Amino acid sequence: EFAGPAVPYHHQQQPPPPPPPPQQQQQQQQQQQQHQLSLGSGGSFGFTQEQVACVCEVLQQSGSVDRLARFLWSLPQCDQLHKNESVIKAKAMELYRAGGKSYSFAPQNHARLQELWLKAHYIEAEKLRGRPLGAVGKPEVPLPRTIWDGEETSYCFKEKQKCAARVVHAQPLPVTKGEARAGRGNRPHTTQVSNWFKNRRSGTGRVTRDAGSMLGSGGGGVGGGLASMSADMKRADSRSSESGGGGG
Amino acid sequence: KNLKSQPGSQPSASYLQSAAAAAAYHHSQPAAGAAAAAAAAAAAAAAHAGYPSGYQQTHHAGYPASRTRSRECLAANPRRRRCRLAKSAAPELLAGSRASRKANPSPGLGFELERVFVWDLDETIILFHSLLGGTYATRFGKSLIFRLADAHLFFNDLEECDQVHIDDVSSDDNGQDLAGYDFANDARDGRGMRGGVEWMRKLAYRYRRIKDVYNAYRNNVGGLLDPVKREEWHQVRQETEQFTDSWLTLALKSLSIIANRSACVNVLVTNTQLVPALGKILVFGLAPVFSVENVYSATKIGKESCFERIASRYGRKPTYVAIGDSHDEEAAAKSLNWPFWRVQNHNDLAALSYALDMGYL
Repeated sequence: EFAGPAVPYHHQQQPPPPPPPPQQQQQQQQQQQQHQLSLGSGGSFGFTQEQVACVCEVLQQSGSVDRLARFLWSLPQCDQLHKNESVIKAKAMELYRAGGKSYSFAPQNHARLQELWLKAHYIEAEKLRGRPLGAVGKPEVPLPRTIWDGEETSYCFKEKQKCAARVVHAQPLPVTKGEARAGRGNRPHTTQVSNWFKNRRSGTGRVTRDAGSMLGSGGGGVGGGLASMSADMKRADSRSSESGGGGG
Repeated sequence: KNLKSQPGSQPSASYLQSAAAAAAYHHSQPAAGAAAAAAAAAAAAAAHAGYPSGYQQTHHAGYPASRTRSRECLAANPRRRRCRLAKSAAPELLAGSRASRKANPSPGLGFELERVFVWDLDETIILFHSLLGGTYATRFGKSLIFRLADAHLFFNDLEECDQVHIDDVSSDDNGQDLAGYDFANDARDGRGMRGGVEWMRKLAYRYRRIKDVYNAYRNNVGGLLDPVKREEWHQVRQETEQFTDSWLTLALKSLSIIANRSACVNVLVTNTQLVPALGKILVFGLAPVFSVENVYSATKIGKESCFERIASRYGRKPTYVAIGDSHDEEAAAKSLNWPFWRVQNHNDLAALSYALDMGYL
């Protein structure tokens, strides 16, 4: 390894789609951001696109996967920069090679790496199609095991997330807070979570029955169950109309 | 050290030095090895013993006549051309010159090279045309370089004998001790002969002596200059830095980081002829970061061929990075699939040293 100070991993900014991380990660991030700013006077050091591509090329050729990862993560979140073919290629190569060498990245880095991996593939797909991909048009891309804990996702949500959402939904708390809490701990954006709840609510009859039976509520008998069901339906209707009006 | 303490008996001072230097060809950091330390001491001893005082006085005496003769001789000398064809493998690839086979070879240094940084000289490390214009530094700088090259690096003799690399004629060397050798007058006895072997051998002696001088004075260029020239030299350096906003200092940052790493090496490929290029390197204080065996002149064969030679020399294992300001270097780098770092302004140099410092390169 060459001599040189280690640069801590950090995310410089959170762009809108991924949700803000939980509390501890935010604190760490802030500390790291301050450290990064103190390295260069008046902000972080700016490489030109060409220079970034050159570094990526050097590190790829020498097979320095970890150094390449460190370098890529030190770069600012700049779309212009990241669209540079060399950079995207470097990232994809980095992950591919990492997969080949069975080098597993730490779980807390999985999200970011998966994002990069998917982005690289989407850009390739866009090139093939000759036009930008929509939200639905993104291909299902298999993730390498080095950046994925193996959990399946369906309709963009992991089973864990759905359970968490169901538990929150069963609570008699204001739904918006619960939705936010469920959303924060996981990947999807709060909008996505809110939509999920809306969709669940629109199939309400089935849902509340399930929720009731899951909790094993003392409501017990059929009569009570039916009564609570209709009450829930009324509550759900009013809520969905509220959120329908407010959220849009 | 032993050689220095016995000034009377220096059996093979420069011989040993060039042998050690020859053996150090495939090592990236000659300065790091014990062999090179011995070489430097031997070279210094040789220099103090016979070199500047005796040499300089006789230097100018026989020149003009011998110079003309040498040119004619070289132009007509078929052996020279034959020699060039025979030496198809770059000499720096060989384990050592004939001289080194006689001396004890130095042990290998044992580390593996990871990066080879191939630099351009003019307008990348040294700015002459772009910023200096008609300043004192330009006028006196160039004059200083050529005067130093003439006085100490046989530029007059070798101007017509372009070599790509300092060891390109070493196979014609016989390893003779050069401590008391009279370079000025060796023209009188045999350079005119068409046999050619004599001439090639004398050529080889000159290149070996240049290597000795470079190694002896690379960290003390002032020692090569008389007080008047030394003052000029200081002024040239100072003004150059002032007018270029410390460009050279900035370039030296990156060069020094690389030179201090055992697994990295600085190589120079320049469009200047070899001897004046060595003069430039000495005058501008670049000699500590470039070994004399790592300097290539592309005047005859072009940058791409030089790059290929370098790639053959260091092999497939290291990663190569080309650094330059012009399309020449970029195209040559591209042809070999080497990453290219463009240097066109201060920021480019600053970014390079930052990337090196952070361990990204």
